[in-house]
Amino acid sequence: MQIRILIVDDEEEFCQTLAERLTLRHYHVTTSYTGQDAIEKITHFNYDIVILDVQMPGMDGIDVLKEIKKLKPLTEVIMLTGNATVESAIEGMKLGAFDYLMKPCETEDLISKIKRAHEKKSEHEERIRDAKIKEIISSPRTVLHSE
Amino acid sequence: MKMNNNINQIGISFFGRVMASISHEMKNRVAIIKEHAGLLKDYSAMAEQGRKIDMERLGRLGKALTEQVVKADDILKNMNQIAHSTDEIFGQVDLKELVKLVIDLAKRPANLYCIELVFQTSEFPITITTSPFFMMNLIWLCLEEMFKLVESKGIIELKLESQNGNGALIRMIINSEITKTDANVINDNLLHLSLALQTAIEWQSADQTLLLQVPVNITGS
Repeated sequence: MQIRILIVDDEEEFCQTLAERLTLRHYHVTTSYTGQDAIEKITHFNYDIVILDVQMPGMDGIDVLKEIKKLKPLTEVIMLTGNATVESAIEGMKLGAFDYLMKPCETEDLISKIKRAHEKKSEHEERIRDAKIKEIISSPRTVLHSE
Repeated sequence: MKMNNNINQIGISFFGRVMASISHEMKNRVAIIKEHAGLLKDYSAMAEQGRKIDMERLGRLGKALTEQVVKADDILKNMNQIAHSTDEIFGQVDLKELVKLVIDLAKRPANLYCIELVFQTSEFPITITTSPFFMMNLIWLCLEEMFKLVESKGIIELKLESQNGNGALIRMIINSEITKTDANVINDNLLHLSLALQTAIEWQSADQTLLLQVPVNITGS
């Protein structure tokens, strides 16, 4: 299955070109130009990774990140920052972002972070599946009760 | 114009904020140019593998690259102008061009507040003698204070009127809902600068308008 990515940045041209480049690399990519639109999409669809700009008009990247972690805690977020300082990126990582990149970023670095973020998400999901299987094996009745 | 440490500190802070905003904007342009260039490289690699390339897309990409370079050049021109505004403490300036430059510089912070800046003036120059750098600082500070008042998504209109040889009047009008009707827009920094530049500043809350009366010449003091 293709890795599903959502790119969130108010710079439409940046979003579109990055989306095209990631699509050429066989990722399934969607774009959002506002924080509100991103939240709307994340509420209704499942993405593996969100590439999120920190500074946006209206709802900024940090607010969007907080919402993502509430709605879909397993979705991994890579923050993009245009600042030379990393304070906002560090704040993002404290709030659960997987990693950050500074604009302009090297494509290889972004791809490498996407792969690692996806591995982390997959491992996490596998552990949840294993825990559920163990629960079923140890107490099959719980499955009956939950259904 | 009396320069004291307080005024200098306000000026340094303004310069820092403008430079931060410009560098952020430049980073965005460079990031877009880099992605466009990367996509051209991707297409080139695809062509080498014998895959068909959409020539129309290549043409659009070239056009987009040129447009981004033009935008980056405009940003650098603004940066150059503000840097040179400190060449001399006093100078003769066209206030219309000066306000236009401040609006260009303030577009990015305004955008972060979802605010559009609209400028209205006559086609004729309005020549005054002032401190160009600190005059820009004063107008920028006025706008910053007004940004904080706009509820969400709004327009701030700047109207520049000549006062028939007696300087000029700048009206800054918030054309949308404001958060606090009793807010004190004119803070200490604005007052210090206004005093140093011999301008008269007044916030008319009923009209959501800030009036800035600019003298024609301040070098005499």
